[in-house]
Amino acid sequence: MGRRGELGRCAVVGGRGVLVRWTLAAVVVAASVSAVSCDNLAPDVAGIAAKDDGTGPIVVGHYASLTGSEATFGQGTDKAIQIAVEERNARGGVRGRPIKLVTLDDASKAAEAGTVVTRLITEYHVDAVLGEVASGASLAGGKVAQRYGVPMITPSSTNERVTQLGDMVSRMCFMDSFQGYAMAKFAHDTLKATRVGVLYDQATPYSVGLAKEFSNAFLALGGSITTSQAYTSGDVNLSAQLQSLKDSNPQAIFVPGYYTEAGNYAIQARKIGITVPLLGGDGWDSPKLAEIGGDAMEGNYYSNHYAFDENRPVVRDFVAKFKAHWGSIPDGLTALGYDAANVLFAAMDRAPSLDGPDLARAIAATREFPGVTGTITLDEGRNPVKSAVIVVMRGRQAHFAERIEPRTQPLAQAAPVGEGAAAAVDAGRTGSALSKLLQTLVDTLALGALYALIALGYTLVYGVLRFINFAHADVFTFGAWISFVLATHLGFAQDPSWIALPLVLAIAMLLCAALGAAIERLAYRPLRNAPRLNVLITAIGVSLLLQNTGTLSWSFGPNPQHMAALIHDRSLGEVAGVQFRVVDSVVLVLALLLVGALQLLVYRSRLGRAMRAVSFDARVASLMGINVGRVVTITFAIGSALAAAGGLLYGLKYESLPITSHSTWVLLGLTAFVAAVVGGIGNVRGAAVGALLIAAVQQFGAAYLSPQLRDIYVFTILIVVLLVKPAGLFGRAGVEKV
Amino acid sequence: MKRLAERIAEHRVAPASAAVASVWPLIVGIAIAWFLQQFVAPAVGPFYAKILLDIGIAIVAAVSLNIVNGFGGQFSLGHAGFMMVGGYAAAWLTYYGSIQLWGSPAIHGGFLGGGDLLFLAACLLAGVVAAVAGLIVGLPSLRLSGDYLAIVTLGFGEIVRVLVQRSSDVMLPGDARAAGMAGTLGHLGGSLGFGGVPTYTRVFYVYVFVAILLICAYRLKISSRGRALLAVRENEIAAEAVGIHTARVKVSAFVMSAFFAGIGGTLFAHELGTTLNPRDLGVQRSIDLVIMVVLGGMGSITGVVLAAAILTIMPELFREFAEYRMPVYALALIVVMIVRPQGLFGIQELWDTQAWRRLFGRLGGSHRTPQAIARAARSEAAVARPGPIDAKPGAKPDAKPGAKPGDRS
Repeated sequence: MGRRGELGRCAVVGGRGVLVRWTLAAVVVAASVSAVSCDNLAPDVAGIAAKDDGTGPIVVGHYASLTGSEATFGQGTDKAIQIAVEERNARGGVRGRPIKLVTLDDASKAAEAGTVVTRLITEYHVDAVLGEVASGASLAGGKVAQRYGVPMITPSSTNERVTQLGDMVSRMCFMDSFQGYAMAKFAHDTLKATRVGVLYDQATPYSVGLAKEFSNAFLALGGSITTSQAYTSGDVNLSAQLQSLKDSNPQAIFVPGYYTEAGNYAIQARKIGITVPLLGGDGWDSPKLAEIGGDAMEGNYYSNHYAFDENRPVVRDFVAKFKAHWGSIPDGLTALGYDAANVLFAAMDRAPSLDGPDLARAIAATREFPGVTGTITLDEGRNPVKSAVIVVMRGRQAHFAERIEPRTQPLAQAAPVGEGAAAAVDAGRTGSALSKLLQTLVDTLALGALYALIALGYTLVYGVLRFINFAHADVFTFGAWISFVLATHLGFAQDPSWIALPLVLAIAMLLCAALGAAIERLAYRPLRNAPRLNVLITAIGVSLLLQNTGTLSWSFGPNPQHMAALIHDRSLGEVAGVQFRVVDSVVLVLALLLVGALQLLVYRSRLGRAMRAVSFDARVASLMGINVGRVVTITFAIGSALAAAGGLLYGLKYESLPITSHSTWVLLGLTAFVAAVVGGIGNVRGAAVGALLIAAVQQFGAAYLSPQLRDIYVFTILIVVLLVKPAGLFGRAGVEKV
Repeated sequence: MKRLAERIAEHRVAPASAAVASVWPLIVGIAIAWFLQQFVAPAVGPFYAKILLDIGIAIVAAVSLNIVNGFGGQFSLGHAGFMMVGGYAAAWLTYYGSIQLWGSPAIHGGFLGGGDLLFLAACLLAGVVAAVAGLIVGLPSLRLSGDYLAIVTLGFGEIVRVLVQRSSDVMLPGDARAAGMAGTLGHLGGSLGFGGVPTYTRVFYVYVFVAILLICAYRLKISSRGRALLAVRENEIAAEAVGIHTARVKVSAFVMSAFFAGIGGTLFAHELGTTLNPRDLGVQRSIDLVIMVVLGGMGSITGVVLAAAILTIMPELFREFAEYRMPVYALALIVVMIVRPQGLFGIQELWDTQAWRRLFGRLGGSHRTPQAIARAARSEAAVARPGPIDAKPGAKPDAKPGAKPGDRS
């Protein structure tokens, strides 16, 4: 009977009961939070827990994207800084004290950059901060450095606003405004171009800023911008934008972006028949550029900080050291990291003390510093006054073309800037409607085939297990990378024989099938009876795991690669200026074959019947003597094998492979998933049709409406289809039973 | 059965007394927030204070998602989209509003000064704007469920992201003043992010909002409307059969959830060391929030609070692993999901867990949750049995139907 009394009491003093409980809960949560913080969050570098007292090592912090989409640049810069620190310590350090480098990862996220810099400054008590490559992250980190009065040098953020944060922040690279001007001047004076097109990445501040500065400078010089086309980083197929550029008939095309993507776009541009030179910025600089872009890069120009084959002793020395240490040739952004560290150490030598303001003044007073990227003198805005080097790609090598000196007087402002001016010129476009239509159609088919191969994996798994396998896109990524490794190591990179494609395809499919089955066994099977959302989270975990182990140096590595040509790609014929290439037909035929085989397997074989039975009702299927576990594993294996085939085809078609954590893969997977849902998830034919539909929406929307908004088209179609037919186009409307 | 129904009716709280009952916890919450701001934050140093802020913001975002996802069982993958909508609305108001009022976007006035009031107004605006977005996104939830709804909400987040990315640069103070508030609407910074937002977010405000949200969520959970929401989650058809207006319940859950997500976005936007940009509030952030809810236990407020704290601290712990950080985090996530699929507390609150009962006895024992009432009824049926409230002492606390949302087929 005590029970009843208790209930009654609770109702009477409900308010106080809640109060007591909340207080207790809050205290417990607060206590556990602080316990965790105090025990484990303390920095493990002994001796620097206290404020810099003039003894012990001088601590320098570096925040960088060691993981995530921009891992290539973060890891490169960090390697260069490590070399600079080692070198300096070998010479006795700074002010007789050794230098200690603390590098923390910000996962390519601006939001984390602020936290990381706070941690470096207040927990590691660093005397100065180095970082970031991406302007967005530097803006977040610089704000914190400025607030706490600790000097920060960004090696390679080119956006104007970074150094405008305040007197603590300085930079090592020239700014967008100068770089844009340098390239505009080169295009106008040396290439004698008056009509230039622009293709930029609307999701990357670097690309947006540089495109704008270039356009302003080029208009001010008296040239015109034929059209300004945007894409979103991770877009696989740019043919709509490239077609518009081609139709606008420019004399050169400015493509500011990172080399990780530029190679890919150059290949596409050449395939579509654009022959004019492509112009780029310092983001292009890498020994990998020629490797990724191949012959498509020939005759292109980009502005840069240095050329790694320059004959200055400081450059030779640095390149040799870097190569000995890390086994690769440093790119321009990496060299800037080295210079940033050395400028900092030189400033520390000169500064009256290592206090923030003193050190910041000393950095700002840097004059005529002999750096790898040229002689560095900082102006009153703490931006270097540097000349830019224009480099031309010839014979798969970057060669010095011209040096553009810093401008002495500001440019006259051209009145109408940006899109208005671009649109005016845009009206005079040429090109036939037929070729545009055909090109869009060809792209739709090739892209649709790729989406279909990925979408089938989603659909199969959803069919038997009723959950979204978020890791599927990463199996696709691994398929592409495994094919790359196979093609390179089997010696097909140079001379593709007829056996190359089938052999690589077979091995990649087998390996990925094993990977898929292993994921199912290890990660998903233990959760067979758990709520579906848990499996979903586990899938996200697996996805993160695959993405970020792929970029480790013992794995596929943190650099994008160029896929070996496994087939002799040539044009099969040309209709109305549109080329039909071997690659496109191989992609289409292979995809059709695989989808057909899968259709047969699912609807005509015993195994297929078992799969459909499991999909219909797993419990009843198991009563009928079907080994459900085995069927599920086989389904995963089949889906993963298809993804591997898709990965290989992706490599063949687009030739350049972004790093495994790159957003390209995520976006591809997401789009393919949307295709599966639109087609009616769980339905093989639906996935194929959905994939074609989504590809068509993307390509036709991009070609005839606006390429900038193509993700919006995809999701709008998705929402509309789901609202009209909630189970997708081919989905069976399930009857809800109570 | 009749006795159980009577008993439930007996304990239904009148609206007025519910409001009174919320006042005390609110005062305690404000006191705790004040304590954290005045004593804890200075004592632990700026870095831990920042982590404290991040935890608070994560709690606001995750607990608000818990309303839709945990209570309602409506799987939303677009929660960061609501944060983005709210955050940008608020940043627009504080940045351009400051310029209109005081000529510069710098912090204006001290505690509860002009700037702070503008910031609070921005919180409200953000909540309202995000709630409207929640209403719009909530409508498809009437027609879709489960994974389909997840994909539509994900699509919403992506659409917002692309639209924000297409906006123009942030205007400088001089130009903005000339353009007026309406003229600055499209100038949200594009892909670079909304720079220069004054950093009003401080520990006190964050934890006051945490307190308000926790009280609202708790009152919702134990209210009849919250029970209706839980019923929808367990079985929508059955819920409709007993007379619950499922459409209204679901949409209002979306609206309430989005309101607080908007406030969470505001706090995020005005924090030192963040740049409000479309990339940081993309799908990844939505997924992080879902992970918090699932890890904490779908529907458990204290569980989600704890999970938000843990998942904010964990990346910091792993930061020293450099490039091995994300793989380690991912592995930890997989292992936790396999070892403890129901999350930390299942649907229970902290004081319902066995460990808590053992530690604090009957003091914190809740009798308000549906389980507790059912348990009480069960133990009453077995009158003779004394001892712990649990009918089956050995039973796992999570072995409830509540642990399997959306598992209909």
